[in-house]
Amino acid sequence: MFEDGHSNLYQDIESYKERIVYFADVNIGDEITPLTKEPVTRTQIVRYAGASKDFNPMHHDEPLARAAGMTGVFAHGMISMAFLGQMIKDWCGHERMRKFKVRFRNLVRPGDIITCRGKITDKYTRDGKNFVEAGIFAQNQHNVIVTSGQAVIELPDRQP
Amino acid sequence: MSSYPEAGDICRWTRGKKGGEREARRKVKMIMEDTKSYIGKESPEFVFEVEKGNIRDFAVSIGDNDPLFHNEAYAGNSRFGRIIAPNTFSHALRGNKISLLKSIPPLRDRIPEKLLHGEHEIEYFRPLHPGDVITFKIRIADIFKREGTRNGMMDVVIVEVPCYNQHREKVLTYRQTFVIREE
Repeated sequence: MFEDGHSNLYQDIESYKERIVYFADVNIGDEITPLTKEPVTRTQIVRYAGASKDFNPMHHDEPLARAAGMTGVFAHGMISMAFLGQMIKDWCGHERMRKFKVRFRNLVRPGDIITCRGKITDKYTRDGKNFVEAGIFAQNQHNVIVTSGQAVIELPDRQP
Repeated sequence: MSSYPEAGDICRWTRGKKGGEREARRKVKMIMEDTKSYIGKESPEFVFEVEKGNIRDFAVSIGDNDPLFHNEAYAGNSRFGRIIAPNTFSHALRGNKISLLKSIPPLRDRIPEKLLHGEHEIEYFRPLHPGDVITFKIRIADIFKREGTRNGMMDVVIVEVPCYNQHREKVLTYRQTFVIREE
C-alpha cells in the first residue's frame, strides 16, 4: 500500500494493547524501553512536511539546501521529537506526558537510523499527583546525539 | 555501541563534559535596540481544524502504526472513546511563523535560509481529537544574540503559542526556540 515501507499501518491490530505503567512500579534509574526507528528517508520527510505543513525547503529542496551551505536536505528536528514522543507513549501509554522539551543538537539526514533512549531521573508527588521525570535522547547510527531533552510524566496509582 | 550512562549521567551525556560551564561562558545576551521592541509582538489569531485524515497521515509519516491514531473501532473502545492525535501533532498548529519572524527587520533577509529550529517544548493539558477547532496566536517571547558552538554569532528568537479548543479550554502550549545564523 505504501511503497516506502509504511505498509504496516493497516496490519492486524487485535493484539495491540496500550501499555500502562504504575507510579509504584517505577524507580529512579529505570530505563525507558528504547525505540529504534526505520532509516529516515526523503519520502518520509516529504510525508512529514505534508502532514505538518512545515514546507521549509531545507527539508526537501536539495539544490536550495546546498546553495544555503548545507551538505544536503535534512529532516525536520520535529521528526526526532516525534520519535522520542513515540518512545514515551509506547512505554507508559497515551496522554501521560505533561511537559516535553528537547534541544535539536545535530542534523538528521536521509539514511540515518535513529534510536531513542531514556532514563527516569526523578520521582515525586505534588498536589496529590504522581510524577516522574525522564532524561531522554535520540542518537543516530554513529552514536551521535541528534536530539536530547526531558519529559515530565504523570503516572497513575495501581488500582486496589 | 556505547555503554549505557548511569542515571545522573544523562544530563552530562546530553550536554557534554563541563557543558554547563561552557554554555554559561558562551552565552552572551545582548538586547539589541532594534529587536527588543518586537518582544511581546503577537501574530493574528489562527484557526486550525483537527482532521482525522491529517492525524493518520502524521502518524504514517513518523512510522507509528498505533491504532488509536486511525482506527475508529479501536479508539471507540479505548479509554479516550475517540481517536486522538500523536503527542507532537501540535507541530501542525503552525500559523504563519515565517511571516512573523520576517517582520523583525534585522532577521528578514536570513529567513528561511539561515533559520534553524533549536529547541521545542510542549506543555499538555488536554488531548486533541478529530473535529476540534483550535485557535492560537504566536507571541514573540524573547529575542537575543548568542555565540554558537560552531556557527559564530546567532540571533535567537523564542515564540510562545498557547492553544485553545472550541470550548475555550487550553489544550496545550508550545514554545519554540529559533536560531538564525549570521553567515
